Amino acid sequence: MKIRRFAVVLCVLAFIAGACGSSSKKSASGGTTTTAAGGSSSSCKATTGIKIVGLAETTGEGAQAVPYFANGWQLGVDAVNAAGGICGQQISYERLPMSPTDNAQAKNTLLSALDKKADVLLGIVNSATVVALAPNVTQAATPTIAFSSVASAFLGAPNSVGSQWLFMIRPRNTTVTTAQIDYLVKTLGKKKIGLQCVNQTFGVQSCAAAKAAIEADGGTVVDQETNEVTDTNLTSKVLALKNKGADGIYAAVFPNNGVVFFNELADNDVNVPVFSGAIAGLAMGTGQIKPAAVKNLYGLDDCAPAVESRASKFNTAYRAKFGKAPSYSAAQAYDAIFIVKKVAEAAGGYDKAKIAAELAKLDYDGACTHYQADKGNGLAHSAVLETFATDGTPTVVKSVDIPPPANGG
Amino acid sequence: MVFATATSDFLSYLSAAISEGSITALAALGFLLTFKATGVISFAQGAFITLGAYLAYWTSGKHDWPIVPAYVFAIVAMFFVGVASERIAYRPLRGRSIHVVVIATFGISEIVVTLINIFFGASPQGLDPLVQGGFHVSGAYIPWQRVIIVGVTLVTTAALVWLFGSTQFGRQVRAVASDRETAQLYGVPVGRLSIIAFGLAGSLAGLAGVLIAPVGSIDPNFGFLIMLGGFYAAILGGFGSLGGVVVGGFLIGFVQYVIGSYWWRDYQSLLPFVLILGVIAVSPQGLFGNRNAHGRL
Amino acid sequence: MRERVRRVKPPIYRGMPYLTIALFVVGLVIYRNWRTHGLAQESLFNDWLLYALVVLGFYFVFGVAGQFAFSQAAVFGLGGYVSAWATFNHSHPVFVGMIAAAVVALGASFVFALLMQRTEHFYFAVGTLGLQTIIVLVISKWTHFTHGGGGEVSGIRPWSMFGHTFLTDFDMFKVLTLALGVGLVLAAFIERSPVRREAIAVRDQPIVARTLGLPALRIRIVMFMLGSTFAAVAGSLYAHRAASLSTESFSVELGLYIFLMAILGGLGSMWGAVVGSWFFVYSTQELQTSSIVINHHKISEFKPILFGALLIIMMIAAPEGLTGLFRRVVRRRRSAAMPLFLSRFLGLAKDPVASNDLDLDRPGPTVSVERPPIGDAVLEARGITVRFGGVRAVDEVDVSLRDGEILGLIGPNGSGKSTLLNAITGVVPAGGSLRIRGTDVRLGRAETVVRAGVYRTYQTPQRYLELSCIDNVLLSTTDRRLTGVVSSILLRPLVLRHERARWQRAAEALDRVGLLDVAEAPAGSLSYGANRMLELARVIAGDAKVVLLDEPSAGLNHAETELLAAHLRALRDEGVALLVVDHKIDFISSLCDRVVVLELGRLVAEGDPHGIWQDERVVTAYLGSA
Repeated sequence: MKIRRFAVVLCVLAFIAGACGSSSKKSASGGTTTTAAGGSSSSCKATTGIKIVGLAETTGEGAQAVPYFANGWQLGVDAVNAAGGICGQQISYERLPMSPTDNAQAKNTLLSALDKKADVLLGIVNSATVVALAPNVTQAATPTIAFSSVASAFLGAPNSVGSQWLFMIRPRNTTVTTAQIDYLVKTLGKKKIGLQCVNQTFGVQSCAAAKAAIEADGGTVVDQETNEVTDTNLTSKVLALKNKGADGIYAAVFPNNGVVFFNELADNDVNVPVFSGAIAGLAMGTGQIKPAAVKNLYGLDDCAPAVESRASKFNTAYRAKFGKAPSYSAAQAYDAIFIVKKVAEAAGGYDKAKIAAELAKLDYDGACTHYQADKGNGLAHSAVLETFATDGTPTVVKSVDIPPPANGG
Repeated sequence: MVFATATSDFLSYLSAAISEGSITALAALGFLLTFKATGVISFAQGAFITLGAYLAYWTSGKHDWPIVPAYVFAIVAMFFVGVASERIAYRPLRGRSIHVVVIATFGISEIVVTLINIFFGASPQGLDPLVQGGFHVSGAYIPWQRVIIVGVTLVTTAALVWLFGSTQFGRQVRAVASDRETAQLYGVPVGRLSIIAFGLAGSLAGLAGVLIAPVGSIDPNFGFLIMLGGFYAAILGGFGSLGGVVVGGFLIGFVQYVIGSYWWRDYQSLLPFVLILGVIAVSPQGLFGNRNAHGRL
Repeated sequence: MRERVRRVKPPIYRGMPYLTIALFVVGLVIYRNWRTHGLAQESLFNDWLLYALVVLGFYFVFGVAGQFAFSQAAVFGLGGYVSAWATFNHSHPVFVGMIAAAVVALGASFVFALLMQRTEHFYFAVGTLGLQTIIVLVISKWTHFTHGGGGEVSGIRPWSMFGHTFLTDFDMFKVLTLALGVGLVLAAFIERSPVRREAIAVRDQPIVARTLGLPALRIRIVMFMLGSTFAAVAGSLYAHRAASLSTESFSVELGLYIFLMAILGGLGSMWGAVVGSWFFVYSTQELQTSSIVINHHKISEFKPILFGALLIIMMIAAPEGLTGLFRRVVRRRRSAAMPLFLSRFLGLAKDPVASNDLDLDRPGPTVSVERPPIGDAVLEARGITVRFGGVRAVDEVDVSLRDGEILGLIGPNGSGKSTLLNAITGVVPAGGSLRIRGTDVRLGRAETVVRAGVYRTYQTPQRYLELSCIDNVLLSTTDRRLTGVVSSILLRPLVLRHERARWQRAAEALDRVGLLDVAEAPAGSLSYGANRMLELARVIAGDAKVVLLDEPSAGLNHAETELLAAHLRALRDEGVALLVVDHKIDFISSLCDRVVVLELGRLVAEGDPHGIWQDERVVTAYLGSA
């Protein structure tokens, strides 16, 4: 009962903070902390280092592995340790590769991390895996910051698998979709939308959310096409969308499909705005998208650390160490380490329940975005809408605010 | 207006069907070659297709070679990779049952794909086409690369037909394919034949890889599905005749990209499987095979 | 002789597999409670048990029945999804989910195997790859079935039985151990029943199996269904343990790993499934969590390379897998030093007392003084024609074989003798008519000819190298009752009784040809002459009425040929009609009552065995015109 009242107060505060939140986004660059509510950072003295375990693959470990999480975590750990560590001790950090396809193996990896006495878990980057492992996280009673956006992992969502231990560092995929649709339908004024959805959880859920958002905004879905992850030719889908007269397209596909899809749209003279969320950036990374297609493409990433000023310090450090521009995942991974520092020091130690409680009221300005915990344990509430130059450099068109659902979840 | 759209749509589908069918046919020709010469179905063919594409990407993308030398390098290098696979997976296992060799080719496939993963990462990469751009036919856009694919496939098929029909190598392969022991007694150098066959199959795989890669993007697993399509084409074609598998490849392309584009678009990629299951349930020797051929399989 | 035969016991009674299984289960429990530390290891243990069950099913499909199936992973997933769907409604007990999964798997595998009935090996493998893809696609698309999108199902109820809910890994361990124990017992039932030798027969030489009268199609379908059911049951348990499912977990990759586990463990024994899955599950985990770094890459990145290399090395050096290696090592070390009880416990066959050569000093069969009179025609073939392309290998040949006679068939090489036998026994398609004991028998079906009592032997002795001699003989039994999988499990005592009787008959046949001492030795270890006798034993045990022998004396020396002739005469005296194809003049002359001559597919002469060699046409046929 007391908790509920406390939560209500928190929500109101969060709402107020969110309302005037946009101005604070342009404040200091990543790496600095603001004073947290309750507990000062200097009251924490520990005898051993906090154990942080990262759960993600890196390049070479799997068919879908990207290096961003591992790189970001490593950079963050190095930076925090160089500045004195957490609670006066160096962080004990370890990364375990977690399979995004084999749930049984992913579970064992999670359990291994617990066997290694992890105090905090970071990672789980695949939507299906988060859903599958959420009960294990709850059972383990260990604060976990997941790097996925699957809506059902948030507390209070329909069919939620969330818990007080699971926190999401990315905005809800459904709201991300809604933000794009809002821009497409309301700002760009396109009413006849075509949908292209890959036949996987990600595609199916995104398209369902898109459909709902389109209709809520007063548009219509003129055609909905599906494809398999492995498809290398999408001409029939492109022509169907064209023949149905779509004047805007929302695509929830995988990057390799994306490359083919965007090019075939341009080849067949379908010159309409194409929104593709985070996939656009990944597809641009292949360098295979034709200029005619690039100019129609819109992406939405959680943030754009390569070009945003708030991430400039992180950007420079990342490029210096890894020789490439960072992605939003790397920025989030980097921020996660600093978040752990902040909540551990606010909690005065490594007690898991206290850390989880501190996470539930997180207010932190990071390289990627300003993090503010909401009722559903979501930490991030913004994204950036981008267009691209032919060489892949993104331009931020608009920073989009994604407030948490009013009724929780 | 509607008719014009219908024509241009149909032409688009047809061009996709023909080019995808060509790639399938190339993949099938590759392991038909090893099958005829050694009786082995090499499950490493998919990995070789992928490897060929990545070798071209490595030289042209990472080291800035011009396109044509990069492609040629890939195809030639894949010849030696094919020979290596013969030495590793076939030679030490000669005399054992065919299953054992096939399983060993799985092992090779796993190794190759993982090496690609480690060296190049799993994110999709791109390979530049031989000729950029395309042209329009009745409103349908046809990329030049697709035309090149079809052309190269036809030339390759013709070359293989000539090779099998008119050269000594081809005669020897046919002899070995029909009765290995007798051919050996007649002095056919079966060992050398295996090496060349595996090498050529590797090159064919590399060729398929570099041709299809520019149409989309490449990732470490894209060759596996092409190989699967090649299996289906070979089955349809009856695993005996070159012409049969080429027709099989085009048939699969037609079913998936023309028929599938008009009906059952959502299940388009399922249609080749259904076709295959239907064909082998009714006629196990495929559409063009001979009755006795499937005994060995 | 009778005494020795009666003392022989079928392998069903030998070894103590149930004791082994019981000890294994107890060992599992002990190991689990004593040595398993940490949550990850608890979870791994359960993973091992689940995979062992799946691979056990695969052992039957691939190891025993020889079918290259990639669908095991898909059926595993299908079982999970069906179980989740069936238990979505909370009023159904969770057990219903497992039954539903098993039923669906039985149905789907039956339909699939029936569709694929005429394909073998590679084509079958590709078909199962297609089946795998179809199952995954259907599950992803059929949202009504999965109550969700894209094949993801969550919130599956935990397993519960007898009012108890099994939530944690420790709870599920009990359920899974029970399941694996049951699975192993069922596997033992099947291993130690006629099913095993029949499946191996169909696997190794399907054509010969059909000429022995084995129901090849039924055996293959049943084994496939059996393996698929194991996978589906395991899938059901997996779903209720994991509480959520996604189609990405049941990909072709998993199918390949199941392959790997079966091969690593060894395809020769059901324990291979247990060993192989153990090795795979634990080594994967070790690699994943190890901190070893090679050249800036964690060793876990090299996992597929290591497994791929392991696969190749195993195929080269130890294709029989870990259990096979174990058996090889044990057999070699097994001298007098091994106590009898241990060897009995491990079920190791007795080494043959005598050598594996024919014992020519042994007295041959007694030939009765009086032979029975030659009676009516027992086999009449009219107008047999066999065409290969444009060539007529056999051209309108009429042959009749009378009761109690030995008919010789001679002719130069290439005259079509073997082809004629192939035509009569239904191995090649042929035109013409065939009557056996007055009843018309359709040409071209091997099973019907065998059922009419016609057996044949081959130019090169066709026997199953892997099976023991007595297993080879047992395959010819006429008593086909209760040889199926279902009977082996449900009607076990009856099966055992029939086996005992069959075994007696087989042992008697072996004793008659002098091979009883090597009954348990693998047929591959026999000498050439002994192999001929084995074929004869098969014919004797099969209660043949007519035997067609294709060059039975080929490769035998003089003494062995004499022995063979003596055996054939003894058979004739028992009322079996024989048709002997051969080249040796003495052999034919001394043995046959009548001889017919074939040249270029046509019957050119007929006569008594002594005069026929002088016949001009025969001389010309053999030697060419002067």
